[in-house]
Amino acid sequence: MAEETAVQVNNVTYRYAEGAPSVLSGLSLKVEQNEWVAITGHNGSGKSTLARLINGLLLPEHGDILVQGLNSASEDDKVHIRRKVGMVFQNPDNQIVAPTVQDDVAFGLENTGVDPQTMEKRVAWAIKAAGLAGLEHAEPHNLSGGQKQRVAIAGILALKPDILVLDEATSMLDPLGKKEVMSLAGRLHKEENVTVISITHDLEEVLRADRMIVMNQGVVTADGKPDDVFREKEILDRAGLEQPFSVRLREELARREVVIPENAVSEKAMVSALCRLKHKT
Amino acid sequence: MQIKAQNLGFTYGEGTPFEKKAVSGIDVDIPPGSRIAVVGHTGSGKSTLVQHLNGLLVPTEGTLTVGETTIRPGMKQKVLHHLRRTVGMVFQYPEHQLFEETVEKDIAFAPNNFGAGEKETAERVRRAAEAVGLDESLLSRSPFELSGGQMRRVAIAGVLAGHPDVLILDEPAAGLDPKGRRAMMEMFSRWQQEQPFRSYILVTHHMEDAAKYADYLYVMNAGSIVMEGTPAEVFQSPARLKEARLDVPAAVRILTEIDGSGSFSLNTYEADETADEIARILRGGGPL
Repeated sequence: MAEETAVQVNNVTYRYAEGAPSVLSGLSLKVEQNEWVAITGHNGSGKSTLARLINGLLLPEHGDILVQGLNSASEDDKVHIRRKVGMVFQNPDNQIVAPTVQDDVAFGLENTGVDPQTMEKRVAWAIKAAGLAGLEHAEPHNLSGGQKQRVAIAGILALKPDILVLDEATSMLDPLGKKEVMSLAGRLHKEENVTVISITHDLEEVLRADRMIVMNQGVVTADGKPDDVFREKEILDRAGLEQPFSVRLREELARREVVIPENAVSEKAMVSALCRLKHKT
Repeated sequence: MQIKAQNLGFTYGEGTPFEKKAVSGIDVDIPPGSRIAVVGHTGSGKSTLVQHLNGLLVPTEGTLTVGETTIRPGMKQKVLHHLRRTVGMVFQYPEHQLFEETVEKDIAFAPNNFGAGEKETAERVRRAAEAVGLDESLLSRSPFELSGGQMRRVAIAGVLAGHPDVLILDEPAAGLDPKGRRAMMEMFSRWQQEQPFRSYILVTHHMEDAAKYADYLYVMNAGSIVMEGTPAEVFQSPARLKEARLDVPAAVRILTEIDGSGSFSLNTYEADETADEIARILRGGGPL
């Protein structure tokens, strides 16, 4: 398949009701194949609306949305878009439909008319990939929040999507649940070349992305590497965001003449840089 | 108001085939004027525990004393209604509980219900709206026309207008953006400091908030309290927190890595304070 842009948003305007204010106003952006993009902004900035537009749950009032060249406004294309874009929502309890993990993971596939042998294989693979092996027959309501979200992701994986949209998928999870879901997304991104679009205001989660987009009042106010964007304090402030702890710490350290190399971005890299400094003194 | 639980336990559906022990062997002692956090992963029993504090649940084992009231297994919930007045509960996503036609009526519900007069109710509504930062012009609007953040403020104002002595806050900042989260927590902090007897009990798995906004932590796992102490005491055992599916704040994680001896002292857990400590350690220790 030709290298096509994963998602292309062209001058999109959207409002929930006629006469209501625009949630998105002339929004344009592109997400390339196999990118990991974090879309962030304050509550009500339009980021979740954008997620729903990407897989055709909502349709733009003006402009268009192309997913690998398919137009979400076309009924024929929409079916294919839904197969290509897997979405995980915020509340783990609202997206599980079947009595066992295995049935839930198979649910999406059953609706696509895949033959039983393929289905069995794909379900087993997806359960394993999501780190849920051994829980095939568990009842979803007995699982932790992180496990439930991974069941939701496994159900999407079984459909082999090219694009995974995480819409605040970790915001209701405890710290370990968050880690589980993020490391699963990381593996899919690396090993299965899945394009990840994560809609979040968890700053540490944003740091995992290759690129971050800041939305404010329905338009993009910043777009770049998280490292660069997180220096733009004013833009962050207007978007209801803050600098992540590690970025603030780096700045505070610099003010105290403790300089950490530019390339030591992650917490781990910062810690080892600091330990080296400690041994020098 | 003093809150004291002794060997408190609660089993859902006791005597039925669906019987499930949610919490057991709980001892807590919370003096008036406290800032407490109950931390634990999803399903650790923290929400079940705090629902006892205003009589929503009656323990199936042990005793619980809230102010003058002692609650024992088998007591009727009805006789505990007065606790709803003194212990206010802000549930997760409280905006889902709005129901009145106007913001004003919604905030007025508790004082009305608790028998405050018309004039007093109006005054309480005005002050509660101010405390949560709701503009007076919004009082006549329908709460359902407001943004999610504003709706949450209305719901919280409704709890504050009941004039509780103790507030139970169950993940009050869940789903808010970073600035909104900070503003919300600062608001509760101000509320608590206004009167020396006011307490809040913050239920959270957000360790940064627990560190910053509580003076004493109870750590729950599998229905029991597995650790307790000041934030500094609790954060000295990252491994035990990990067993409870929790983590220490980033400031503690980084400082522990740099200085294994743990001879650092944090109060706000913010970046500036952490940088001070790191600079001090790099200078070869020196006085705290």
